[in-house]
Amino acid sequence: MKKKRIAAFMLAAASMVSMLAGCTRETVNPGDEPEDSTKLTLYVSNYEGGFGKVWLEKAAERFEELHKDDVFADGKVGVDIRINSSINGTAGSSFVQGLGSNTNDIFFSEDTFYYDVTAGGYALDITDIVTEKLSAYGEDKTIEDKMDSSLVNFFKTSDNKYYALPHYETYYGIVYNVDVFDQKGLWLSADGDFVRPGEATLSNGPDGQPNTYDDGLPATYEEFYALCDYMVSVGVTPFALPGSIVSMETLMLYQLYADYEGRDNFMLNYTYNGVATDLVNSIGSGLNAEGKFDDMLPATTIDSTNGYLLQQQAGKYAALTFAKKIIDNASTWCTNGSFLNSEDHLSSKHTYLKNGRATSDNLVAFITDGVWWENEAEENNIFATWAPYGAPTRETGRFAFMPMPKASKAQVGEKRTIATNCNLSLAFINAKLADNPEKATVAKQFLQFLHTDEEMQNFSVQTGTMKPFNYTVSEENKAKMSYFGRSVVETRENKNIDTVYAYGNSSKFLNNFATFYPDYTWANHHPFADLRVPGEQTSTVEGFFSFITAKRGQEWWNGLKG
Amino acid sequence: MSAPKHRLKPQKKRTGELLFYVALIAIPMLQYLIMYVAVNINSFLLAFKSYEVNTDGTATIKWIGFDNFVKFIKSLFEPEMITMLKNTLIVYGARLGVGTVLALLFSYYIYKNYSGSKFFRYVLMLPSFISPVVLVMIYTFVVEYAVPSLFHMRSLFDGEPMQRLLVVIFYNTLVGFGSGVLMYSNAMSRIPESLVEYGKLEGISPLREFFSVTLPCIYPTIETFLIIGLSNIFMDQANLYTFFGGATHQSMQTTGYWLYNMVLDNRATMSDYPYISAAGLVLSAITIPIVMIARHFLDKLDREVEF
Repeated sequence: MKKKRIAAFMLAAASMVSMLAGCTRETVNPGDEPEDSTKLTLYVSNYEGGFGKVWLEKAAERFEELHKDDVFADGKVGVDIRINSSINGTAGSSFVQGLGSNTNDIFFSEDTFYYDVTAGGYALDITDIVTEKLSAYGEDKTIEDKMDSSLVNFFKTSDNKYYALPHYETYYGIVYNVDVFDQKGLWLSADGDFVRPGEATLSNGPDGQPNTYDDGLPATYEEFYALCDYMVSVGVTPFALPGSIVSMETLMLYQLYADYEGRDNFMLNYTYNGVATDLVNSIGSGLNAEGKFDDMLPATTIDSTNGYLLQQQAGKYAALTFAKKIIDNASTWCTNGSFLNSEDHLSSKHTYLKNGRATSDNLVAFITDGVWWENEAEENNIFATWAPYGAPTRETGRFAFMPMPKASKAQVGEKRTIATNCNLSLAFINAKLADNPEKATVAKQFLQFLHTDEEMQNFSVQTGTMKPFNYTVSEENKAKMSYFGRSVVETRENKNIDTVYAYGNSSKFLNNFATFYPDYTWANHHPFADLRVPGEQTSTVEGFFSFITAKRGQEWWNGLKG
Repeated sequence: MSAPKHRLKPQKKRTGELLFYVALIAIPMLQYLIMYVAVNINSFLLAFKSYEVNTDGTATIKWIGFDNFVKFIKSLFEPEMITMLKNTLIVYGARLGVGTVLALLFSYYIYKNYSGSKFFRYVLMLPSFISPVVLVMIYTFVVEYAVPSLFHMRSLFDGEPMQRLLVVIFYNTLVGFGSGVLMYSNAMSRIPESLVEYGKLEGISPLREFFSVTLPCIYPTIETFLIIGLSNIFMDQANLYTFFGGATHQSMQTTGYWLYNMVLDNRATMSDYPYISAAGLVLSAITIPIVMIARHFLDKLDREVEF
C-alpha cells in the first residue's frame, strides 16, 4: 500500500513538473514592489521576444522620474508603470482575439495585424500625439514626420486617423563574425585571394566602392560560394542554422530577394502599381552571367488585375538558386544541427558561440538570424554561458550583418536594399481608456515620450536595433553600443542602403495580409525544407517556379479578396 | 392538526433541493451556453460570411452564402489537399491498424496477468503523466541523436516527409498506447470469471479465448473507441504542431494540422476565419455519414454479449 502511495505521489509529481517544463519564458512581471496606490498606474503589456524588456523598464523609470510630481485625481501624485512581459500573451491572432477583455493600458506587441485591431475597436485614437510637434521635448518635428511614407500610408487610415505605431524595425539576414574573418583570413582581396587584414588591398564588396563598410566581403554569389569552400578548407564551418525554425532561413532569403529587386520592383508587391522589369518566363538553365534568366518577359505594367505576375520576379528564383547551393553543400557548409528539429533559434546561437571554443567542432562564421539576435542572446544568457570558454560577448565580440551578395558581377554596385515589415509589431493604447481621460492622457504622453529622438536612441542603445522612424544616433550613444549594434545603426544611416517598408494600403493587400507575409513568399513553402527533399516538385529551382506559377496564377489572384 | 405540517415538509424540502440544484448547475450551464453553444453558433454563422477590412480602419461583414464552402470544396481536389487527406487516412489507419490491435493484445496480456504485466501497466501509463511537450522533446532527441549514434545513421527526422511522418506516427502510437490499454484491460477485467473458467474446462487455448470470449465481451468498448476515432479523423493533427510548430512540411500535413495551424498561425487575420470555419463544417459534413455508416456496420458485428 505504502509503495503504491509513493508511486502515485511520484507520478503526480512527474506530471506537475512536466507541465512546468512546457512553460516558456513568460513572466508576468509587475516588478518586485507592490502596487503604489498613491500614484496613477499604467499597465503595459510587452512582447518579450528578441527585443526583451530591459529597454522598456529603463524607459518607464525615466518617464516616472519625469512625471514624479504630476498631480492626478484622488490625490494621486506621480506615475507608476507596471510592465507585464510575455511571449505568447502579446503576439499573434489569439492576442488580437483577446483584446476585448485585455485589461492592460498600453501594448507593445508583435504579429498583430493593425487593421484587425482598428476594426475591432481595440485601440485608442492617437492621431493627436502622432501629428503634434514634440516641442515639449525640444523637437520641432511630429512623430508622423519621422515616419517613412510607406508606413504613413499604412498606419494613417483613409479618414486620417492613427490608432497605433510600428514598434521596432526588424529584418533577417546573415550575421558574420568579424574576428573569425580576421583570425582565419577570410577577407577577399582585390586579387581574389583570401587574406587577413593588412595583408593586401581588399576587394570592393557588393557596393563596388573602395574604402566602405563592405570591403573584403563577397560581392557575388560565386564569391560567396568560394568563401564558404575556403572556410571549410581552413577549419571553419560557414553556417549555424536554426533547423526547427525554417522560416528564419526563408526570411533571410526574402532579404536576398528584396536586395536583388531593389525598391521599385520589390515594392510592386505591396502597391501593385508600376512596371516590373525582371519577370521570368522560364527558368531554363538557371541564372546567367548577367544574374538574369535567359527567358525573361518584357517590362510589364503591374496593376490590381495582374499582380500574380510578380510571382515570377527573378529575385525570388535567384534567392532559391543561392539556397540550393547551400543545401547541396550542407554536409560541409552547415553545422550538424542545422537541419535538426531540436535546433531552434536559441540553440543555434549556442552553437554559433560554443563551437570551436567549448567543443572541438569548427568555429562557425555565420548565423542566420534577426537584427535582434545579440539582444536575445544576452537576455537569454547565451553569451554569458560560453564566455568562460573564450567565446565573444556582446561587449567584446565583433559581429555584423553581411550585405547580401549580388547574383552576378554585372549587378555589383546596385543599391543595397533591406526590406522590413517590422514583424508586424505595434505600439498602441487600449481603447477602453476612452472612459478614463486622465489615464488616456498619461498613456499618450508615455507613447509620445518613447518616440522622442532621445528615447528612440535609448531604445537603440539597449537593443542594438533601430525603431522604424527617422532619427540619428549620436556618436556618444553609438559608443555605448556593441560592434553589431553600431553596424545596424550605420546601415540605416548609410545613404547607399535603402530600407524599404513592406507595407501596402490597397484593399487587396489588407484583405489577404497573411498571403503576402514575407514567410509565405514562396507560396507558403520554405525553400530550406523543400529543396532538401529529392523527388518533390519543389526540390529544384525549376520545380519551384512551376509550382508557384501554377498555384499562384491568375485564378488564385482573382479569388483573393479585395 | 399536524397533518398539513407533514404535507408541507416534503414540498419545502423539494424546493430547497431544487434551489440547491439550480445554484449548483446555473454557472456551469451559463458557461456552457456562452463558451460552447454561442461560440459554435458564431463559428457556424461565420462560415457564411465575408470579413473585409476597409482602409478607414473599419470592417465590412457580408453574407456571402456558400462561397466559402465552394472555395474549400474546390481546394479539396488540389494536389496539396489530396496529400493532406492521404496523410490523414494514413494517420487514422495506423492508429486503427497498429495502435488498436497492439493495445488489445497488450491489454489481454495484462488482463491474463502474464509475467511483468503490472510493470507494463505502469510503464505504458507513464506517457499520460508527462506533458506532451516534454515527451515530444525527449522523443526528438532520441530520433535525432540517440538512434543515429547507436546505428551510425542520419537523424530520423532528416529525411523525406513520409519518413518523418512515420516517425511521428510511431510516437503517436507509443503515447496513445497507455490510455487504450487502460480502457481495454479495464473492460476485460469485467468479464465474468465463470465464463473464463468455463472456457478453460472446455480446453480452449488463450488465443481462442481472446477471439471467442474476450473480444466479443468487450466489443462495445472497442466499438466506442473506433467511432470516437473516426469522428475525429479530420481533426487529428497527430502532434505535428508539437513537433514542428507552424513549419511542418506541406507533404506531411494532415487536415487536422492544417486547420489547427490556420487558426493558431500568428499571421492569421480576421479575414481568414470565415474560410476556415467553412472548411471545418465541410470536413464535419464529410465525417458524419462516414461515422453513421461505420456505426451501422459495427453494430451489425456486435454479437450483443450480455453479462
